[in-house]
Amino acid sequence: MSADLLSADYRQRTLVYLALGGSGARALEPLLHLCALGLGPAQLRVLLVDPDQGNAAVTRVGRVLDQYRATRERLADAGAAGSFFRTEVVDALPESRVWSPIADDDFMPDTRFAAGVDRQVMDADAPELGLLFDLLNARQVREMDLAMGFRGVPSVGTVFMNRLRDEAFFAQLLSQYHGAAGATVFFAAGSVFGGTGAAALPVVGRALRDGVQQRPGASAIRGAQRARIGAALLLPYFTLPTPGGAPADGGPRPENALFAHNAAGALPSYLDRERDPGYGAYYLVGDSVPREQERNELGGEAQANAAHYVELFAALAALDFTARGGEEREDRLPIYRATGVGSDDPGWGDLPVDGRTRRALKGALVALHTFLSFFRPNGGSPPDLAAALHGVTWAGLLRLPPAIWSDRSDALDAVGRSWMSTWEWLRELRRSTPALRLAAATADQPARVPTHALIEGFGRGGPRGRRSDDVFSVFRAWNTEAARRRNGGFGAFMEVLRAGSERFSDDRFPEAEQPGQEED
Amino acid sequence: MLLWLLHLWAQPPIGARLDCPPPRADQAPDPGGLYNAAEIAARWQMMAAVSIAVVVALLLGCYLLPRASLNRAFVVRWWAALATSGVLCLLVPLPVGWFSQVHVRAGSCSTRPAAFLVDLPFDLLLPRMLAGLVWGLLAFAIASLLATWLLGRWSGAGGFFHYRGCPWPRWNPGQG
Repeated sequence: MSADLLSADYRQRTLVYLALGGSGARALEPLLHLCALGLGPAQLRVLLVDPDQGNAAVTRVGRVLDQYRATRERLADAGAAGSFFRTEVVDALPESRVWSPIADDDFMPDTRFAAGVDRQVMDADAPELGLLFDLLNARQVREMDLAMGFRGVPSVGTVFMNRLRDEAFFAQLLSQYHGAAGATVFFAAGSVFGGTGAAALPVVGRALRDGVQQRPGASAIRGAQRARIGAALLLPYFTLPTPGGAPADGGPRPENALFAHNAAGALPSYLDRERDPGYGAYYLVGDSVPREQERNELGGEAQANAAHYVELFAALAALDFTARGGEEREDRLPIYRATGVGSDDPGWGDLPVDGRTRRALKGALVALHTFLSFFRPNGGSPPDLAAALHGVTWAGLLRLPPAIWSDRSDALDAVGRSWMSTWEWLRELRRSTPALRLAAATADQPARVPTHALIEGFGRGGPRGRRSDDVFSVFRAWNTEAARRRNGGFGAFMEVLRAGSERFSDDRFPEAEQPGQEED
Repeated sequence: MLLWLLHLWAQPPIGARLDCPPPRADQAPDPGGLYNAAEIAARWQMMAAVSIAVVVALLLGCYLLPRASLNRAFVVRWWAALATSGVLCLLVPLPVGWFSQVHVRAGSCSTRPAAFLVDLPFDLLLPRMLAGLVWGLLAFAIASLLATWLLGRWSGAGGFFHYRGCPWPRWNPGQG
């Protein structure tokens, strides 16, 4: 797996991303950060599937999603949405970003599993069925409150997941897919060791393959090609600390001991062509030494935990699948893709992207850092940019009048806020165990990190490597880039921010040189 | 005009008089001889040439050595180069005057008619030194402006491109 996220075809495609459960939602955050750094496809349609609509992962990614869209909207107003934030992110659901498989039961006061399947009605109409239900599900499971998620019991979730097939938005997703003539792919991501993800993964793939059956007033819709449906199966990559107490409803809670067991039990169903969950490609993502999370809470905001690099790899899997446009050979499906991490703390060398994409990502990180060091220091209030940039070469070449910095302050503020949240995400990954060593996001304030030390694992040897650089060194590369352009204005500024920073990064953090190598 | 551009008000003192050697017992004192005009003009040209070289060297060093664009360090460096230019151009006449003697015009001293060598006195050099100070400051600033304006149009011109156009606010360290 070595994704090329810069090809012309990729940049025209649409990715329908189905975030299944908490892990799927957590993998959406890096996906949005990558889009903010200009590495996304043309369009990203997002569907979050989770019965626990208030869980921390959903809330957190919701904030990033709102921030991304607000930023893109402001950049589009300024005619500058063609570079960073180029991906249009839309919700698959018209009125909400999260689809809950138990949403139909929302009006019911009783959200227990037994109530959700009308267990009491079974006593009257089909007592044998009721008995079978009781035999298959322990009391603890029958009484669990589904509003807090499926809690590592995927068999419960599967009962409700098939409701997806009846949803109008699901039919619309398939219609849009057929209308896009091969430019759309579906990608689902979720854990196979938890509750919601493990329950939804087999159902979602199958539902996309089957399509929608004819119903009164609505015609049937063909399913999607198997080659255009991919999935990231997240293997146990975290463990949970010992919980503080039993759940209020006496129901089960996710248990570390069962994570590997659940994963081992689930994986054969993705290998078995007879059962065929419908996917054309699988990306298996995990970590050999799962990290212990900070909290072990059931649902809600209290479930918040720090970002993990495995989630970034799941997001990259989605983009890799989009870049491929799905798989090519129907007769060889499904395809299994894997990548390896070479050390305890993964870095650039472990990132499953090609050299061109890696260069673009390094450049984007330089752009982000320069922006958060000069234009919106640490995401905060702006300096007097008109005075500070008076006479700067690139501004002159791009014909940017001094007033543009105040006229476009909305767009600049929004970019500052979005990129600050990207910085905080990078910082979480950097400080985590295992740490992801991409950017030296060790300080909470980007301006405190020197430019020459920003990109970890790359650098120049010799005297050039010992010289310090700051944003003004980056400006030099912007000058050269601006001189190559004929267009001007704010849109051109965003282009120069991207291409110029990449030019600087190529010089300061070249692909061919690693730290410690001396120049001749 | 060219002389004025090179020396401002302190143009070559071609007609300056010098004290002739004291007369012998049988000679009348000579009120004053003349320097060799061609040599005086040559020394002043040398001062101008050295001053120009100083300014060009400072200009190249100031603009081509930095690797950044518009940073505060450049502002400080620019002001330092400006001051250095003034000081060096102030000092240029001293070594030229002290280490290269000129001849007295033959026959201009009746007490010693031969074209003998003399040092250039400090009071003759002082006006050129003061003019050099002003010239150095002006030359560096104007050359800086012209070079960034003209060479700055070409992206291969290094620092002249990266600091192109009017140097403001790079003339003001507070605005760096």
